[in-house]
Amino acid sequence: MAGFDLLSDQGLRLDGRRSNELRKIQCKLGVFSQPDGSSYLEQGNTKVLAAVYGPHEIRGSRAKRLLDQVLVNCQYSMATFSTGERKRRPRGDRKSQEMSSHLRQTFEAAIKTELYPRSQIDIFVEVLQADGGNYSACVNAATLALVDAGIPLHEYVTSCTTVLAPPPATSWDDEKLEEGEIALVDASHREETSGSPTLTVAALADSGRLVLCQVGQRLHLDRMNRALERALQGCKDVRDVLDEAVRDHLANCGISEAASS
Amino acid sequence: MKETVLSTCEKEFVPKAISEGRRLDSRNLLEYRKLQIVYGGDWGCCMVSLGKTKVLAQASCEIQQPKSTRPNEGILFVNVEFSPMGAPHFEIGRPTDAAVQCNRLLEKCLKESRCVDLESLCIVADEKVWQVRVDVSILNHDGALVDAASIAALAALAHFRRPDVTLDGEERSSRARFSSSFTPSSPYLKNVVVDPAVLEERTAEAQIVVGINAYRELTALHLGGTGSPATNQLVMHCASLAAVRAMEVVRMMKDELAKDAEARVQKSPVGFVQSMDLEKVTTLSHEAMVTALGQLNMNVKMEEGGGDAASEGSVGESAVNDMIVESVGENSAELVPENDRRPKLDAVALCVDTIGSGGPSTWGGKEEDEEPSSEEEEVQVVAQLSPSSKPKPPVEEIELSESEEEEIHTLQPEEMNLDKGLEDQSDDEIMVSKQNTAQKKGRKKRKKKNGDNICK
Repeated sequence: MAGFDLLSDQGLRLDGRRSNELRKIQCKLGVFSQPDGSSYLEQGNTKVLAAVYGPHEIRGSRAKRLLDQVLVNCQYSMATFSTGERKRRPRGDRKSQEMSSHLRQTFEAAIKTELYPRSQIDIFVEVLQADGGNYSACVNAATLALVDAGIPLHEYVTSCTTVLAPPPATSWDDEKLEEGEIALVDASHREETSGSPTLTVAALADSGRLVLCQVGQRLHLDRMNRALERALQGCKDVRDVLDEAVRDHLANCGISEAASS
Repeated sequence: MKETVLSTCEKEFVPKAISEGRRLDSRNLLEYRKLQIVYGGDWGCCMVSLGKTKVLAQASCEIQQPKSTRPNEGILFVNVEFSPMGAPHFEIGRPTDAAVQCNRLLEKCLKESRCVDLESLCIVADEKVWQVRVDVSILNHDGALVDAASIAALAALAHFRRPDVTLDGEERSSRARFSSSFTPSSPYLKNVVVDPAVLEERTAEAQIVVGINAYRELTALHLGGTGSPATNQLVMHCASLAAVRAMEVVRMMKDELAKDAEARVQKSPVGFVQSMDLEKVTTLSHEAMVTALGQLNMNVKMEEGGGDAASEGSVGESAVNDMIVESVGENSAELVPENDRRPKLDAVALCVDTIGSGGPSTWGGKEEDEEPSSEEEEVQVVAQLSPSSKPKPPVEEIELSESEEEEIHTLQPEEMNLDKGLEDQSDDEIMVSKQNTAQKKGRKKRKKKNGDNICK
């Protein structure tokens, strides 16, 4: 583990947040004209673009078509300038393929797939700047893009990454887990790579049901429940932010159309 | 090749059966298949079979330059090969999604759990380190691939010995140090089913793979699926199941390792060949019957059509008997008339893992029934028991006597005639009974509707 403390004695993290605070989320829908739906999302310093095409006819091999549901095709790509060191392969390596398949699983659970049999929905996600919580930011951005494309979803799918940090040397009277470890919600890159256990969760925010759950490093079973609960709460908070953004966007769309007509 | 399409029957039947608590191979929902770990002749070679899923792992090492970000650590490289040998829809060049996922899960499990002490693999910092490579090949795919692959990889690593090099080139064998161990176990959601077979996997709504080590630390968790999502209680439940399983598996692995070490010390032959008994009669037998006898309420009214041809011995009765199916061991079942029923038998206990305590051996003069197939009553009665049948002298080759070319006779010359008589009789019986079963099937089907709840 690195020499810095993830949590100072006043309960502040490295970027000045408290343990249950999310990073600043700024997002915009409808940034591109070609795709059916698109969005740009910034979560702290992590910046992600998402584009959705569909539902349309199956491209490529017709053999892949599913007779009772839509085929969701996701592609996760990281720009070569997104990380500290230049990435040599933006997509196609194992990690990206894994991310793509995780995204696909997430959205297959969220989209009402039975409405578009024998068709295909493409979701392209590009990470412009990776500062931790890449998967989470991608899921959130893609949700917005799907909303922008008008594809029916069961619920908002949001995602959140939590890191379990050991408590600082001196204590304060903020919320503490019994064992003394604090769950830091919406972890940044430094927190993720500090060697502490991480938990990434994608959930249908309103009903609180998990769609994808991933653990990194060694997370002890007894701690997991609390970490899960915190992560779910983080997902719900993200959902509120996204919902507000969607409503703003629709209101503005309406205004501009009314103004131009 | 494309994966074979699942029929609607299968897609509907499997979840429905599971929601009633039954599985296709009559395991309980939370029961695991038999795990067998066999070490090969080389260090670091091991084959794991989990039921019918078979996986082979080989660990090897070579000296390489370390990664620039971690100059004093060795490299652990895991590769899971989904070769077409395992299943027809696997392709070598293009890994499927499942293959990539399996690879990544295993990589994460092994690397992030830090079960191999990478710093001990360093020779000269920033220049030379050991790269330990584990290659796992899927030999047969019958579900739970990640489980089997992880156990194999771990067992191979535990068994592996790397050469010890000092800077002037001396070599000795020593083991890579291990700090903890883990195992994924993949339950299946909603009605949590552990260790799914391939059909159960394909009809599952979602799958959760939990990698956990013996200290109850989660090293990898992946929950993903297309169906209705899970709650965190479910995830916790699965994780606790996995914890229990992990301890069992680790214990088993350590036992096997100890056995293998002992065998090597005593210079007795080791390797895969030793694990295969080619000489026993039971070599090719399945280990468990694949039907759940407990669900068969067979009050089958059998009519004695075969009485005429089957001359001496068995079929004396012409009355209609009530028959009951009993299991008498791992591979066979018996249809006994009611009045001949042996004591014992808890009605509920008529399932695979109970061995009937039965009565005395009746090998002489009786041929055992073939396994009843799934839920249909296609029990071909080759011979019927009756209390009045004369006890035959116990002839061990009764089973083999159907083929007249069998050479494995240990009979005495006096008994040869008797044997021949039985051979003829059995052939006739088979012929007749085949005709009868064809007729009986018609009759049986009608009777089935009268409330035998065999297939719900």
